[in-house]
Amino acid sequence: MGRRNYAEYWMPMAGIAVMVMIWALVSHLPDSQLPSPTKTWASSRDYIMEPFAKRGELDQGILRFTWYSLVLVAKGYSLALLFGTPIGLFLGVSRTFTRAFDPIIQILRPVSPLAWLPLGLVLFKQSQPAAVFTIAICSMWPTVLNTAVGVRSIPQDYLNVARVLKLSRWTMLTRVLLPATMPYMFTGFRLSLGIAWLVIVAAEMLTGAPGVGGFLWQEYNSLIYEHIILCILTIGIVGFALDRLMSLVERRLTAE
Amino acid sequence: MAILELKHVEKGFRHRKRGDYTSILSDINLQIEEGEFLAVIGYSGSGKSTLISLLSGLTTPDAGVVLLDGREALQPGPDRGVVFQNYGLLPWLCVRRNIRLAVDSLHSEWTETERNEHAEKYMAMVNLTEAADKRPGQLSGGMRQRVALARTLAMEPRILLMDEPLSALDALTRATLQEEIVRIWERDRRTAVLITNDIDEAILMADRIIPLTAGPAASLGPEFRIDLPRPRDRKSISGDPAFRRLKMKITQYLLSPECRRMESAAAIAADKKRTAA
Repeated sequence: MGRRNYAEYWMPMAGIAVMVMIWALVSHLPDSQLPSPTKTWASSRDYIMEPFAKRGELDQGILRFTWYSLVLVAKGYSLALLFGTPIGLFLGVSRTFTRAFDPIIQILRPVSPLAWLPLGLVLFKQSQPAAVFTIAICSMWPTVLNTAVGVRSIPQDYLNVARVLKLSRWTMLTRVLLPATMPYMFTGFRLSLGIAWLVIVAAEMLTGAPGVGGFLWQEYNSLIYEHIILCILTIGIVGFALDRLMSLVERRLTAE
Repeated sequence: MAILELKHVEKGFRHRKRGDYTSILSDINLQIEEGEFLAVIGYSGSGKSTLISLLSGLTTPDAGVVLLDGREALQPGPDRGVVFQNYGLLPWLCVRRNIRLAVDSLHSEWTETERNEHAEKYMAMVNLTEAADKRPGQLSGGMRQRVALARTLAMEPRILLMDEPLSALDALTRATLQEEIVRIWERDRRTAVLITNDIDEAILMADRIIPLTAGPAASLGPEFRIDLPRPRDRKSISGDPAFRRLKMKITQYLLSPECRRMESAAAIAADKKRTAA
């Protein structure tokens, strides 16, 4: 027990301590623009200690900014799942559908969010719907592809059983297809959430929408470099928490 | 008229890249009579599962026809129930739900109570009532095969097709299930086809045994009639001279060059050499 605690608890602490030390060393090099850990803490303190404060449009607690970002992510991500899951199911079930749409998916998939955003702005004329559009379209692909793979790897046994029992299309979908594909789908959902969180920061930086990404860009323009580090750490921790949350949900739903 | 008949059936597969054709089953002629218990016995890899797929309609022959009541049957259906070798149970549904899947699909016009009673009846028939709410993952192999059996029986198929249903089980469980299957079959004597690789099992259970020769291009050998009186008792039957004679004859056939396709094996080896050269 003691040994396990040591490895599980103290080793990550030691890793973090080493990183902070390297950070401090680099920040004390001559001509270094990197704010030191202590300076970063001193100037971020208000934002962390009063995380939901609203002092002005561009001066709010860090969790309040995070909340704005999360709301946008939730909208875009829901759209991604809403469209991505059925598209993935169709790709998995129908060879014709795959022939027709797989090439276009492979072409759209590697397009950067930075490229989609201007198109979103043209289409929706406002920064918020443009950001939602970008998140949806960028984070959709892992859900689409994993769902398709999941459907294709359903054991032949299950399909034979369905044919012998003359299952209706609906029963086939709800009792065989979806449960068998669930583990793959959730892997897709998790990867999609990770991408959605990556995209939101980029989208906010470009549109100046309030949120962690917007705050980061604005503080860069105001030369308050400490807050850039605050934002990076916040983005990382929130992303990590989201991933953990998804794997918890995944384990709950796909446990046998 | 035979209830299910295969006429000059061929089945094989075409190699994807090379495009050449490998025959699995060749010139299969088989007549299954209403009410009989037929066992097909053969080496592993000889195409026994392909034969069941053809009989059930899960695959269609490359040549020849499959006739159900004299009419060509191209699709699987509830009149031909299949018990699969690896059970074919859905792991996310409990035993009752697995069985209800069949009942709900075939009897959508029944009320909830009727469907439930039907499922319970067949669960009781294979002694599964206690395990009704468990999932397949929580059950032993023998119990899982009972679920698969109950699900197929609940379809009340005219023909019960069993693809090596007991070969993954230990000897004791196997013996118990053999007796149970025969007991259930004797109640209403529906047609049953059992694919197996166990001679004792075939003699104990079947009215007629047909060997499948070794593959590739396997075909059916001569039939052996099993006229031993029923019910057959496992303990006393193994000492029965008639049983021993049958077992000897079938074993001799299965080991004969004719069944093992010695000549064709030699031909295949020669063929391989030629392609390699």
